[in-house]
Amino acid sequence: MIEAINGIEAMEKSLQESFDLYIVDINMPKQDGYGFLSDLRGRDLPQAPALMISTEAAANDRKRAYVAGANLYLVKPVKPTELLTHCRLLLGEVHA
Amino acid sequence: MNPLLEQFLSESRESLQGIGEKLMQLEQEPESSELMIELFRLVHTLKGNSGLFDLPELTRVLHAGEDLMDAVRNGRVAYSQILADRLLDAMDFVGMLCDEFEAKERIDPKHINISVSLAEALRQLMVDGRENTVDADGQAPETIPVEPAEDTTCRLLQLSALPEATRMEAYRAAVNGAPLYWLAYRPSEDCFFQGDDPFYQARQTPGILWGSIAARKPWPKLSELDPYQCVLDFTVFSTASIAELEEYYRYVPDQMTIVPVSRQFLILPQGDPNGGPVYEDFVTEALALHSAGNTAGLTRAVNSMLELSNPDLWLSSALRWLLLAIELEPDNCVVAEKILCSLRTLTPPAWHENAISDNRLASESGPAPLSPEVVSLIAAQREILSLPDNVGWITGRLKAATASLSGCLHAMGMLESVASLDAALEDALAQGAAAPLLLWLGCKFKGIVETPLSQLQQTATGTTSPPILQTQTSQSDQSAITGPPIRTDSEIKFGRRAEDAYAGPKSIKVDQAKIDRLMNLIGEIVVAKNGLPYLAGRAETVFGVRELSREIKAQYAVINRIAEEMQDSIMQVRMMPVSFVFQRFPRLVRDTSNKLGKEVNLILEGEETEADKNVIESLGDPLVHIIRNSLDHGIETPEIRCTLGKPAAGTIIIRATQESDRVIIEIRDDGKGIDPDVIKRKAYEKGIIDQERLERISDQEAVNLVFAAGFSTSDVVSDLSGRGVGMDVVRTAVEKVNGTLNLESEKGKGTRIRLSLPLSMAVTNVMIVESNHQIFGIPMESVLETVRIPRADIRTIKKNQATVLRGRIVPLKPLNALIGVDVPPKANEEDELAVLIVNLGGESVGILVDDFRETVAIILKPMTGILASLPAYSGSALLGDGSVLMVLDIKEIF
Repeated sequence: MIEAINGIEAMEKSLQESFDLYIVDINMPKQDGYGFLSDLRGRDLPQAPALMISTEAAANDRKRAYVAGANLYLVKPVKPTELLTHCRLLLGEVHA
Repeated sequence: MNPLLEQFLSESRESLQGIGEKLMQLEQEPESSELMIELFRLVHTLKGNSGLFDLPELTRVLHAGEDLMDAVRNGRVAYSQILADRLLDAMDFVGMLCDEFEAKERIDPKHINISVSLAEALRQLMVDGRENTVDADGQAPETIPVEPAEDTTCRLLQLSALPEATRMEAYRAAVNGAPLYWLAYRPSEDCFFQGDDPFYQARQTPGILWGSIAARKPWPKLSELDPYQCVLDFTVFSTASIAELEEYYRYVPDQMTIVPVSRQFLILPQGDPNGGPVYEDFVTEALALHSAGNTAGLTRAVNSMLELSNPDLWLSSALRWLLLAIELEPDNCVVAEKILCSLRTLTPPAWHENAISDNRLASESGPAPLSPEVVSLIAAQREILSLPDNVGWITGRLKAATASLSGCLHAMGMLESVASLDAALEDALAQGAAAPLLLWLGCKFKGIVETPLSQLQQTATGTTSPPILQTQTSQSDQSAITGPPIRTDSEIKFGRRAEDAYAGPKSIKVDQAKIDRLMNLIGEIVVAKNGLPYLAGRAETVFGVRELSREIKAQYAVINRIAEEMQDSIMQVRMMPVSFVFQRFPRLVRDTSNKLGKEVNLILEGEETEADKNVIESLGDPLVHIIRNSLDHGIETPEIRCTLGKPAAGTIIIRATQESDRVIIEIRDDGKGIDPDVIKRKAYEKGIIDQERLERISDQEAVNLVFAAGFSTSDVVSDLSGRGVGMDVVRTAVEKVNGTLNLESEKGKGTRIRLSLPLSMAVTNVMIVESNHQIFGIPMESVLETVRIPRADIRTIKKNQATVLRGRIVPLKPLNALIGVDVPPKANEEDELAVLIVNLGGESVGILVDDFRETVAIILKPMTGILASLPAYSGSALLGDGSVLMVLDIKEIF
């Protein structure tokens, strides 16, 4: 698990190694989640699924996230078990 | 609000109501498979409709409900009380969401938690149920719901109608990046009158590769044929972009179905299967060459094989495709491999099989194992893929969505579907569009996630199968538009899915405001027509033309008849059966009695009795009050009932009947009744009755005191075991629609409440009386009789006038005095006074007036503005001569 504190840093790390799953917050300093994702999706990199977490539940925000390149949009508060299930699914892990 | 949404909401409410009713019935006869199927159908329809809108919370719950009902229907899960409870909860939730959505046009995201937990609760039942059955039988039951043939795949199979050369050309184009679209164009029957030229339109389709025309139904006899009707379906296969096609068909979008086609589906070898799969050596060799990446070797081998074979053979056709695939896409090993493998079996290439078998697999394992997370993930990918493709990072988006789906497939163990997903991705990447992936999603998860495309197909091809003939041969010329072949009836009939066949009631929905407007207009006509006799009178008396007067009267008779009929018809439109309010009571009684631990049988009678919508609607709340009271305070607990020698289960009967122009609703329970003594004492303590009345009052009158205003205060409730809660509310509501109510109760035996309501409130019959040179209207329902009483027969008792009418003392009041005019009533030549006997709260009272006039039907308009503060009048109406009639409210003036 690699952490990045903003979109710029996340991009740098994505260029260095490949990830299986991104969990992205929308509100980040310097570059927000939307910016990071659309940047990532526009590059010739392995495209891992991205899970976006936000406090905004309006349909518009969700759409914006999907347009930017998210693959799932979860609204806070997210239950840890729910998050885990989704991560497992996106990673293709067989249910125990 | 958009009309589609409005329709959805109103239909949803209907469905919800239906679901509630069916569940209630199911409780009575839990074995009825008919009810279960009906119930499933309702939930299914509701879910299907909800998919049209962006209401994930709603769809989630409904989907779980649908799965559960499907399981119940197939006998995998037994019907149980808890199941009904949870389903009802879920439907209440859905109803709440609908209300919220209507009010705010969005759904508060906070509901997502409830939605998930409800859906889980429903699914839990399914799991439990299944475990139970497994325990019982020792093996899982193998009921596989028979699904209708997979829509998308079916359509794609029709591609075999295209000549091979056309398909190869299309394939070539697709590899070079052209999109492929299958267009079904169904012109409306009267399109010729709208200036359409469907034939020309279809032929000029941009990027047309192939087309066909088919008749929608078998041709009728020439003598019966209407040549001005278009009964043809056009099918076109095109390589133009969707934007171009939509632009081209922009005037007939509702008649079009445009389906994107993946190029792999074009690879359909055709021909004589003679020779059989004897080329095992060749296949093995070719596969070896292929996996070794020796394209040149493979091409050579295929070419020599092709030369040896008859070109009409299936094998040759497959080989031609193989060559094309190698030539065009040397890197795409999947396609070549699949074609090679298909040579072994001489069945069409594997992606079809894959798609079909995957589908079957999905339906076999049922949608049940899909957790809400999977569903939401897939739905999210669908949404992502449905977004416009015009962003710079489309490639990344497609890859990421595929990665997500692939993750899901792995997680669910559906590894065999991964290959087709990858193929779809390659296609999508080549086209730079999400369509192939969407199509894949539509195939794979059709039952779970409705793609917009498949919805499009369903709506557009709702009643008929795709208009292409399987019988078309591959030899037909590629540009030829084939003639109209004859199709059998059954094809058309069975294109429709069984679930769709449900025929709704033949009715239209009309906004109530429109009916009200119509009603007002009729009212005006009635008033306007009443001007004619007046005019006739003037023609005779003022202008002295008797002939004209007679003609006006004749004409009036005609108009009068029509106007009355019209009025009657409009009334009929507004009529609704009382079942509209009754249907909520089974649920109310069930829930309340469960909560109170009482056993209650509810019997509804005369549900089909009809009355005006306003009357029916005003009934709802009073009835709920009355029934709650009966349940809460009337019916005793089973133990007490047993000791009293009554059956353990109490009975509440609600009966509606029609008596002349009134609707009578009777609510009867066999509970403990009301003790008149307690009521009397309480009423006295509350100051509702005075000492004198307390001594005189009959038991019957006493129990009716519960309707008195101010009787329902909290301390009375507790002492009186609550009888009387909100009863004055009931009375007010009933009186508002000119109804009356009456309560009879026998201590220990039960209570009976009788509501009497007018059939309609629109037209009021009033009697016109004259007093002091003014005319007043008095509602006919309170008029008992009119009599003329000699002045000598009127006595004065303690300053009050009275007379004896048929042995009964009737108090008399002059109307003038009642409305504050100090003029004595006039008598006629024989010195008789006109007395109108009215019913006032069950007692007869005489009103002294100057004279009686006719009775008229009027449209009573309530008093508005400053006049509304005059309680003596219930309203006003326009008379034929244009004058205003004031209608008295008898209860108020005394």
